[in-house]
Amino acid sequence: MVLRALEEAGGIFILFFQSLYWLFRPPFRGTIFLQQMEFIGTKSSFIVGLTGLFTGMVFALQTSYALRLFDLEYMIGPSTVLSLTRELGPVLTALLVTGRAGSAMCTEIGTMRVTEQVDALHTMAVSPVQYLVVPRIISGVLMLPLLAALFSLMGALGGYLIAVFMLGQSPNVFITETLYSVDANDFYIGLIKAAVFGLILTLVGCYKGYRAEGGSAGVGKATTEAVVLASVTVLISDYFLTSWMY
Amino acid sequence: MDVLIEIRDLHKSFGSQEVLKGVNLMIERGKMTVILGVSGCGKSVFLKHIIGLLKPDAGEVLLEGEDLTKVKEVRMNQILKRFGMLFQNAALFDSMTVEENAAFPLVEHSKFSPEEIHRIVQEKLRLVGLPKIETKFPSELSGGMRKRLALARALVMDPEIVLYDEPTTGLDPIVSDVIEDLIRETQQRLGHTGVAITHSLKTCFKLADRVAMMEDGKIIEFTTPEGFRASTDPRVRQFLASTSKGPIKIKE
Repeated sequence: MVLRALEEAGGIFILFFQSLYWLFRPPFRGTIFLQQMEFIGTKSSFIVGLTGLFTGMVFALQTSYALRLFDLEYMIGPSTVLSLTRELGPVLTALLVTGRAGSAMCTEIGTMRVTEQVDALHTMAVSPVQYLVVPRIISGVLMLPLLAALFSLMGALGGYLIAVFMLGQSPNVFITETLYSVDANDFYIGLIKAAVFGLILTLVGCYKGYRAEGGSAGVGKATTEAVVLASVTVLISDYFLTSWMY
Repeated sequence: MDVLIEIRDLHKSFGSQEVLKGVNLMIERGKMTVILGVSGCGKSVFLKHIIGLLKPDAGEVLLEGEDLTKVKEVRMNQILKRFGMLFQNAALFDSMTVEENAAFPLVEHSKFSPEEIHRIVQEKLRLVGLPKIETKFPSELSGGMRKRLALARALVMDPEIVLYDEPTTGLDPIVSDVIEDLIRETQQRLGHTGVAITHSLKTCFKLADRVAMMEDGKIIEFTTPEGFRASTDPRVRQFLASTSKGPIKIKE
């Protein structure tokens, strides 16, 4: 069990370094990069935005009950937006994208592996790491911060709607208190976290697919493992990133 | 004998299972070498070593004196441009159309314009007898058509060496015959060196200039088709007689 975990961690690191090596070598396949960015980024934006909106609304509502006890209702804005930019935005976005795109890339690469399409790439003198893994990892690292920002923005809007239209807070209080308490750093750190999560979820998804074996059952197993491993790694690394950056 | 690829004492194990136990073989330039053997004798694993999909535990694969088991990936990619490979299950890219599949190696490696690529692909698709189906996807094709397309893709770069992994397995006898004719015809017309693995005697005798029989991880016979038919080796006799009674035992 321990040996297997170590072997897996080693395999993921090797794939990471192979990807770095192939990243800077021609040919550069712009179309594939754009396709992956569209798949990971654009096509995830609706679900990420929707989840962000409702997360912000729920968060504002729940904190209002607690803050009301201490007469601190003016803190609804800052508490909602801070939680979103620092934690909820990057983490929930990463978990959503893991479920949506991480699993899909694992299944796609895994199916290509068990039907010898990955071997076919190799025999046609195309590095499978460069062709399949690099564009997905780069797209993950670039798109996750944007998606996390969208999540936080929609969440802030959700919090604003609840605070102003349901709890009757003045818009002015919500906005000034939020701007007063939240600085740009909170936002940037959230974005850095999201980029790291983007790396993790794409790397794990690609690695598990790349190592899939045993037909369709093997691909199914690889996908399940990819989603679990990527989610757990995101949550654990979130703790370490938070304790390191604040 | 004009040797293009020489395989020396190739060994490979997976865990405790020793699959290749010292394979030695010379592949002649411009000839079709067929490696015959029962399922599980190690012939697929052997073929994957020639093209670098697997690394041996020991031994050498020498292409004009250069050991392919030791070259770096970037150099290997240059060498691989001299190869084409037909996979057992075709291994077509299912996200691409017929034309995109056949054009893939050209798009990746050639400096041709899209029009020229289109022209070359059309020519190769005609060569393998595929009617006008460029815009279809592999999932819409029959087994025989998939094999033809895979052959077109393997030949599109005019490779010097083409490897065929069980070219007729899974096809009906008539389509098999057509594919065998096609492989033989294209090989003779284009003059490339061929290495095919198969368990079918019929495929073997239709294609081969040289026959090598593999059994239990070793080459036990290497000769011409006539020499193979006349072999006195009891394992070859058993294979030719297609009977379960003899020295070759199938592992349960």
